[in-house]
Amino acid sequence: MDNASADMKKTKGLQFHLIFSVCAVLILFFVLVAKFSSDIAASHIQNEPLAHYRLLADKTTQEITTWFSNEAQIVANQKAAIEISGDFSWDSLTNYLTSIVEDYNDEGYIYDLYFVSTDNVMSSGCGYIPDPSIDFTARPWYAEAVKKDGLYYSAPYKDTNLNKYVVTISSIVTDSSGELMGVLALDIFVDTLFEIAENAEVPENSYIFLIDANMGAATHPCRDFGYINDEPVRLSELPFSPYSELENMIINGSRDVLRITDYDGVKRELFVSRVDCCGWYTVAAIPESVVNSSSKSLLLSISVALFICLIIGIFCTLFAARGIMRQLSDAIIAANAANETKGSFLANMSHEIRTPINAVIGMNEMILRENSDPNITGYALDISAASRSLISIINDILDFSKIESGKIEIAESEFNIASIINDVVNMSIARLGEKELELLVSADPDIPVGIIGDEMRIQQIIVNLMTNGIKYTNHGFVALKLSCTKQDYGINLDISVRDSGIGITEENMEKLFTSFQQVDTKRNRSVEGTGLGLAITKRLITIMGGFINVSSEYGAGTEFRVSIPLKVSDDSPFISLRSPKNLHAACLFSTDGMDLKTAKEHRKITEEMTEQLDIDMRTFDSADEVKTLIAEGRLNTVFTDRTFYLRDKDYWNGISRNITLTVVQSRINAVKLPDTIRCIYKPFYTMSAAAVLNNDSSAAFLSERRNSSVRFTAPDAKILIVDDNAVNLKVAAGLMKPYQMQVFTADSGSKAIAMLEESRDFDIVFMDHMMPVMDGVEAVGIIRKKSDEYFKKVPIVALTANTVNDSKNMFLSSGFNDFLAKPIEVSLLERILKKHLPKALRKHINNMPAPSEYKGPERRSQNKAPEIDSSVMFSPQKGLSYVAGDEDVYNEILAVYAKNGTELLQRIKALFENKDIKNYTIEVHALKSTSLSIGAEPLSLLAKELEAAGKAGNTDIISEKNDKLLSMYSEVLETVRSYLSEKGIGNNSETESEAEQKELTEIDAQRLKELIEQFYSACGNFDCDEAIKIADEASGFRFGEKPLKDYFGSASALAADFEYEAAEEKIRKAEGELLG
Amino acid sequence: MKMADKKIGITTDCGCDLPDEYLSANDIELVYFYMLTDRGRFRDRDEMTSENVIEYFENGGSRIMTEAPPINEYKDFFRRGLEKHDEIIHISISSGVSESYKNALAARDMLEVGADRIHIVDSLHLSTGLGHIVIKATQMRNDGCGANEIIDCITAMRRFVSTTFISRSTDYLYRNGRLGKPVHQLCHLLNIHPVLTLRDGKIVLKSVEFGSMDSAAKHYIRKELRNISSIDRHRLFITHAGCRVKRISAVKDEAARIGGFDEVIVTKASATISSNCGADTFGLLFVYKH
Repeated sequence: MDNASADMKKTKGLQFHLIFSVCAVLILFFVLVAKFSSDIAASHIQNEPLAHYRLLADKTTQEITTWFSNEAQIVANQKAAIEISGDFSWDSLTNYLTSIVEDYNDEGYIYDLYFVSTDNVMSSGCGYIPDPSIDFTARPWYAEAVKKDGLYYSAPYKDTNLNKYVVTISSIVTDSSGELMGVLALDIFVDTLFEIAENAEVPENSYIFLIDANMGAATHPCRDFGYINDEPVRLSELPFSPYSELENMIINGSRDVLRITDYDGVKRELFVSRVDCCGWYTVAAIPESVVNSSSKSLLLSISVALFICLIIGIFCTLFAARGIMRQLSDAIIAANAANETKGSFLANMSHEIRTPINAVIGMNEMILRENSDPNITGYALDISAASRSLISIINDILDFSKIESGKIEIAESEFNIASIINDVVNMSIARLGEKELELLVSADPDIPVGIIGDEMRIQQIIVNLMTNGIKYTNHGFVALKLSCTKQDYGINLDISVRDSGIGITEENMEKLFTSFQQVDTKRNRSVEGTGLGLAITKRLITIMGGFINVSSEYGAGTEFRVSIPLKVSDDSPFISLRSPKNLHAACLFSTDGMDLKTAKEHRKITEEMTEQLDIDMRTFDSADEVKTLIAEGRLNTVFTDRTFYLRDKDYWNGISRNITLTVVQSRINAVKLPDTIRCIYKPFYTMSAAAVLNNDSSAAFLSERRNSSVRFTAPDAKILIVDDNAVNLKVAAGLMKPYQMQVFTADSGSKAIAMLEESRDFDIVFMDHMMPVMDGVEAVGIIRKKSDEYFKKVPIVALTANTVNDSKNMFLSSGFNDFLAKPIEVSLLERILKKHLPKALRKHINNMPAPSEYKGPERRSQNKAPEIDSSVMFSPQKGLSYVAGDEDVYNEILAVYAKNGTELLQRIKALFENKDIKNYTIEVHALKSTSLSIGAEPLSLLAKELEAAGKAGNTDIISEKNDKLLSMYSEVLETVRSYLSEKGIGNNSETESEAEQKELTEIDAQRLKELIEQFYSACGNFDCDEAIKIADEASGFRFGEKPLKDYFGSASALAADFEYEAAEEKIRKAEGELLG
Repeated sequence: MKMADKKIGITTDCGCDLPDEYLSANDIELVYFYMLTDRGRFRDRDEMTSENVIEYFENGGSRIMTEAPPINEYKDFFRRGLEKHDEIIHISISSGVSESYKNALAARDMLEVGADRIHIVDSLHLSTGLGHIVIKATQMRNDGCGANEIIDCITAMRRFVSTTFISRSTDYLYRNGRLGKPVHQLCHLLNIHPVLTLRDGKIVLKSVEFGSMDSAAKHYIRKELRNISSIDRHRLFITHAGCRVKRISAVKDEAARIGGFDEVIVTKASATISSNCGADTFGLLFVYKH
């Protein structure tokens, strides 16, 4: 997932959270507001219907009051009339009352209007003849009226005659003196009253009933609450009555609403209103649902309104949030775009940066090769070191940029872990410099020999970790451990780099892999670095699907552990021993001078190695023990170190004739060993041990093989280099000089096309990519479109400083045949030349290294050129210093030098005599380089002088000094042969053919088979160098009378041309012929 | 009766989360779980750690499967152990959370020789809860106790071990299918921090904490250590996955302040544990007095 989409994903997540949080808050807010508002509203709203229904009761009361008042007015009026009339006869009174009844009874609800005197004489308006036995004065309407001294309203009662309910309104009548005359009473039917109550406009399922002054229900829809014995039922007296509380409330004068479950189960609210005139009560019974319905609907309306507001609020928030998020997204996009721009900028700058650096490195390389002034050479070495450091930093920055922009590609090609280990070890040794650190290495032999992955990147990872370890460790050790765990898909390659350095605090561990940061900067002020190394390492590991872990103890050390999943093409162990059962080995190493931790680590790794090799091999601390075992014949191989060797040199020198003795020592102050004792330079680990145990130097010489170059010359090859930059042209041309090719240059694409058209015989074209007017891609396009077959087939190699993007595919698809990065690595250049130069043009020269390559890491790190002492014709010391002290390598070079010497001497002589100055110059040029490499510096200087003269066409100097050259050359050859003879390395005084004959040692079938197998293996691994090495070794033997050179010589040449199958076929035939 | 003549090897699996120094000092061998990513199969603790798990997910990695030590590996493991020891007591992670125990039993039964010398105990715990039991077994072994005595003791000890963890989020529980999406989303939005425990060998939700992780952490510590008088204060493990130094320092200080433990040891959780609980998770693991 690239950074942009990761950021966007995070933005969307943030957006969701933000919106949800805001919405949640808003919802909560509105709910609270709604609740609060509704509570307030509810209390207000609910009072409204209460008032409304109370008003209903009051209205009915008002009607009743009006009716009663009207009827009571009749009584009041007639009472007044009677009182005014004064004395009256009963007849006139009766007539009067009768007329009143007739006048006021239009509606028929007056039953009777009558007067009863104090002596119980009644006069009735409706013709009632009273029973004289009845004492009307005892009647309530009489007695209460007298008591009340005002209007009296009786409770309703049933008139037995009419079977109707009647109410009596009565009032006292007094004479003028205020003397009671009697009581005037009006009997009225209360049907109307009941009708008023029954016909009141009430909501559904509601009713109004009347309660008289005695708390009896005058009217009620339920018959149970009607009349008992013609008297209204006192509500509280009925056990099932729900109105008992009502009576209390009325008696207490409360105006509250009473909520009851009514006689019919309906929950009703009772609203009471008093009919003041008669002390009756009007009660409105309204269902609760009716009372609350209006408040409910109002609340509902409010809620709906609030909800709508909420939705509107949410939408507004969403819009606002989106606006904010859009701004945030835009900011992220802008930041990512800026990051990409930065990446592109760095990518583009790659070319601009690398081009001048390429010039510096290349020109410096030529100074180193051609200059003999020690001071200048020293300066040039300084420049070389600094420029390589600069390239390393730039590569880090560009790598990081590539990774960040997702443009890095991980290659999937087969490789052998051995080459990585060897390179890493060599680089680490170089980086150690003057630090006195133990470099410890452990490599599990069971790691498969064929692994599929990105060799370069894996090496980069390990180198980064080792560099870090060395940087931050001042005392003790840096230990590299490589192992694997087998999986279904291949292996997990497990890498551990542990050191006894300054360690990392816990706080700094958190930012360890952060780009551009060095941790503990105060303490690490003196430590160089961009802070990118670990960040790049981690990212590379992650891209490969692996993991990296770090554990550290501040002040004590750090361990990085890496695990990378890789596929396997060949799961044979990368180290195997030929005859394990025959090996009985001892490791006798001293830890003197090591601190405890380092000593412990050293012991641990050595023991681990003995276990991994899975042979009879043990570690010892005491030489006596080892000596005893040797004496008993129980050991045939001993590895020891300088310390133990020097303690008992004579013993070891003596015993080395009987056993395989190897001394492991540092390159610095290495002790000189006799020929019978082998030397391995530290670190001592499975590969170097196995090399000794297998009696095979190939592993130890891996570095030599890697660093060697100029295995051939191609004087007939014609090369065209195209670059708009003059310095680059000079650099490239200079790097190709050792191959003795004819190099032509062009400073533009168009010139290159013109030159190709003119001659059509260039063998390879090296074309710069970025050039003005017409760049390399365009030029190649034009060339490839030409009709002549030559233009379609001529190999064109892209030269480019732009390695940020993986351009190789682009170049190949544009018409280029290959790709070479600037600054140009000589080994890569040679590979290109081998691949594209026709084999007929190549002259193989076998392990003849160019002096510059054999300066070796030690010399460079010392930053000093060895002093040239011209009085010393031949200095093996000087020669050894060019091969980093590796005596075996040096002896090989000497052997070849001696072997080819006679022939070359003759050739120079002949060319001089034939006055073939051109070729003479070429030969002395070669002599100059080779003589310098073996330590024959005065000869080299003379050859250089004559080369310069040849180039300048100065035949006088050549004539003057040629004899001296030849004489000096002979002398050197003689000295070299004597030197080699002392070392027991062949007799090189003979002629080449004699030497060849003598060199052909006979080997047995077993050994031949081994060599053949090794050759097959090397070809199978596409390891050109290894194949050539084995072929060359085999060429030095004969099988019976048959020189193996006849078979392996051509096979070597085929391998050199990467014709592995053909080479294998050659050897297969040889195998059949020789072994049957 | 102590039997000092037989050499007893104590082994466990990498889910014990004990420090390397303790393991190597006491010769305790580990058998490893495996973490399966979309690119490879990595040995827990050795090739892949809790930080790797967290980074893997943060870099967009999909689900990580965990694999118990396979039977064949157990067989080789036991064989190697029997070469060094007379008897082996293998204490495994809870059978309720892994197949490891079952595989160990199967491996033992498949051994042609020496099966009777291998004792396998189900710890019913994980991480340093298992670690406490391993330490106890090791101490008893070092004191010369016999295998049966050790086994009886640690078997009884299991119910007194408290293994709890608090996670910053339910992300990993959801990712590993232990929680449904709606619940996970709700927990996420409401900032719920689950507290998980082992009960009868199974992972269950013990409680939840609300609020910021800082306050939830404090609350969790106080809750767990509230009955301090009943806790064995000899040793407390604080085991974490993906916690920053600041967090662990604060937790350690708080636990030390409340508990007054003789030893407070901070360890990192294994990748297996971390893949189930996620970043910014820590636990207080201790033993009750018994």
